[in-house]
Amino acid sequence: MATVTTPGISIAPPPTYAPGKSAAAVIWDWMTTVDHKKIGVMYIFLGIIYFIVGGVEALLIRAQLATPNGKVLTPTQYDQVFTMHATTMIFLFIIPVFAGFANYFIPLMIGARDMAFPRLNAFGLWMLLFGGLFLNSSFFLGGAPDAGWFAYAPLTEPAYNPGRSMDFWAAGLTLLGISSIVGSINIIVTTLKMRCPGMRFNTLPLFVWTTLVQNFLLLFALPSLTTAAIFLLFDRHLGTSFFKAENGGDPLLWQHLFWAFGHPEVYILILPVFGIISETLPVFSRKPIFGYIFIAWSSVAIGFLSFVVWVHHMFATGLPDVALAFFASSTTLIAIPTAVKVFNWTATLWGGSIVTKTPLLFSVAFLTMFPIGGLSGVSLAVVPFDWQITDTYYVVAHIHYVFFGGSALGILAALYYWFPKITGRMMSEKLGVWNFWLVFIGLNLTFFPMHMLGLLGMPRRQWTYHEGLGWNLYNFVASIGAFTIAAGILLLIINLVASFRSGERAGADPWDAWTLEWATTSPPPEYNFVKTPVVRSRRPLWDQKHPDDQDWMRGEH
Amino acid sequence: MQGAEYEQDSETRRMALVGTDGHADAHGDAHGHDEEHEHIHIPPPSYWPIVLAACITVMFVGFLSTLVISGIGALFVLIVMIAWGLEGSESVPTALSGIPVIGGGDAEDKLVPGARVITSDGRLVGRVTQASQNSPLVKAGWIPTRYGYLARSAIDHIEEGAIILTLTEQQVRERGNVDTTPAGPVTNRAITTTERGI
Repeated sequence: MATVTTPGISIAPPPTYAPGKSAAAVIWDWMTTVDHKKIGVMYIFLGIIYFIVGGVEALLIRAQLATPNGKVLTPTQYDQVFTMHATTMIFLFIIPVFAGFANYFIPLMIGARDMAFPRLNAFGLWMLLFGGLFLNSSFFLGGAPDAGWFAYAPLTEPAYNPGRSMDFWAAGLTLLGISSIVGSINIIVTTLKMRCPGMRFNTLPLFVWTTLVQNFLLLFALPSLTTAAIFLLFDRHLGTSFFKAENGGDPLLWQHLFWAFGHPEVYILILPVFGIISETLPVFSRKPIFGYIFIAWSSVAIGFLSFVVWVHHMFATGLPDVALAFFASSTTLIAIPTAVKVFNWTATLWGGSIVTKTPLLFSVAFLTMFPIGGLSGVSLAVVPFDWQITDTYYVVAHIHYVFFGGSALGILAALYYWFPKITGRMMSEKLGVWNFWLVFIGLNLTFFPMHMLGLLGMPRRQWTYHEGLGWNLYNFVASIGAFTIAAGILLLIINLVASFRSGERAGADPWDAWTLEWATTSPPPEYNFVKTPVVRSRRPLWDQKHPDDQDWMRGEH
Repeated sequence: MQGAEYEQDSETRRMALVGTDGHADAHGDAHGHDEEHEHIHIPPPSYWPIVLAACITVMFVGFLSTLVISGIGALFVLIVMIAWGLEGSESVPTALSGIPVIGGGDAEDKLVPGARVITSDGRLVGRVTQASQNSPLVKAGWIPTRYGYLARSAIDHIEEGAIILTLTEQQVRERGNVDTTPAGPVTNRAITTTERGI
């Protein structure tokens, strides 16, 4: 591993959690910390723990479906496991890990010493911890939620779901919603108010841009889910009839409220990856990002458009033609800024001096896998086609190419890219490459056959299936793929632990990168920067390393 | 050399990374880009965020069991929010170099979390919560809790597990507006685990 050391930057001072303190003092230190970096690390750590939990649930699902007439899980257990798999992956893995990266790196990238509201920041983290524990405690307290991650009414009403499981779901998501809302307020205010001198919107790192948009989406979309969850609790405990058709309520109201959150949520889960990729691709192709302004402002466009597409989840509910036409059009429209970004990233790589490191492998994998999910999403905007494959495995394939081929690959790219900054040590490239190929092959083995299963008519959430339907081979391959992914993730965990303990020293700027987080030591001191940085372009470290060829001298931002 | 930062040359408008000594700069000795002193303000730790999150969760647990628990949770949420609001956040770093140290070891060894801060007339002011070698952070009181970095001029010497101030209780009250309690005997024994934990 070639390590580039920037003159003037030395190995970081020992972090405050270095050996020498008693275990109790270390635990107390982390429990009471308001340091954005420690909070970010805890978000990421929690997210990885829940990723493992959600992954085990996924393996149970695939074990059950590997062969016809599977008996690994009972129908009740199966319902609980697929519901909690999605809930865990979305609310307890992807969102928290993005919150972790945002917490850790936004202040560093914008030249600030901490977040705008450090204690509120800590509060958001602890709400996540307790919300996750609350939600998962349902497994041991009468049964986990079992109505699917979008919990359609009337299945969630007391008449059809009399236990406590949906109460855990509704209350748990409300707790997690509190965490996300305070976190998003903090990130928005930090980005808007705490940028260092010279850090204009036109010079903001793209990860900060996309995370800013993501957090506006969270702030405006989550209240819809929280409202729906509280209405559901009212229906279940106070006898109201928001979603009870027999008393004049409307089950479709749930779908509207849920998807008014749920579709912005898809972009909440992918926008930060757009930013991560926009950071890694230039560094590993040794070129500035192609089309900075388009990537930045198209993220804003995606943010707005994401609020006017939610009904494409409801094409099969018997809506008027005009509604179908509008939402089919808006869904097609939102594909445009997303697709052009793919060309931007490809153009960034084009003609570059490619440095093939693990973060680049995952970034390029994202660049090839995410469009598969995007294109199948466009196909779902075609109303007659959507009617045919609604609630089949085609939709499962689509969403997993977006969430795994998109979000998860982006998170892996970010882990490998920023691990040296967080720990001061490099991750093993050898293990990283194995990790990459196992995950890449595994995800395609798992999710690509699901397209065929959907087109063959296999419904999602089906507990088991009979032989002779033509689904056996595809299901078996998908299950093999799931365990291949698991092997890859196991290697990731081994790599994280081994590299943290004895990885090669990273230095301050191991990738020869250009954004401000690499201007300080690895790991950064508690105060981030001794003096507040001043920037003049989008690549402040390039300017520092090339005093005769600074970006701003050439009129570039 | 610890850390690095940007410094702008006002004539050439060039940007340069300048390695500086973090110890000195952390105390405001370095010049910022605008040639003015730049004080580093790091917010002190706080246990109220985790306590508030726990209380809110208890409130929600009540929704699933009995509203009595919700009521208790809500009451504590209110109390904790008030306590959080009253918690101070002042933090002014000050160096400790040159302070006499009694017994073996140096100041860094003895300034572990939990070390007591005692007035010259034997009253306990608070305890060290963050044992940074440059600027120990002291917590005083519970509700409201106050935090502050020790001023070097206020320290007479450091013993095992205790910082002895030059100030009397009365002088501390006048300066810091904090309450004090009897400190008990200051011993030279090693710091126990209990004392090190907070």
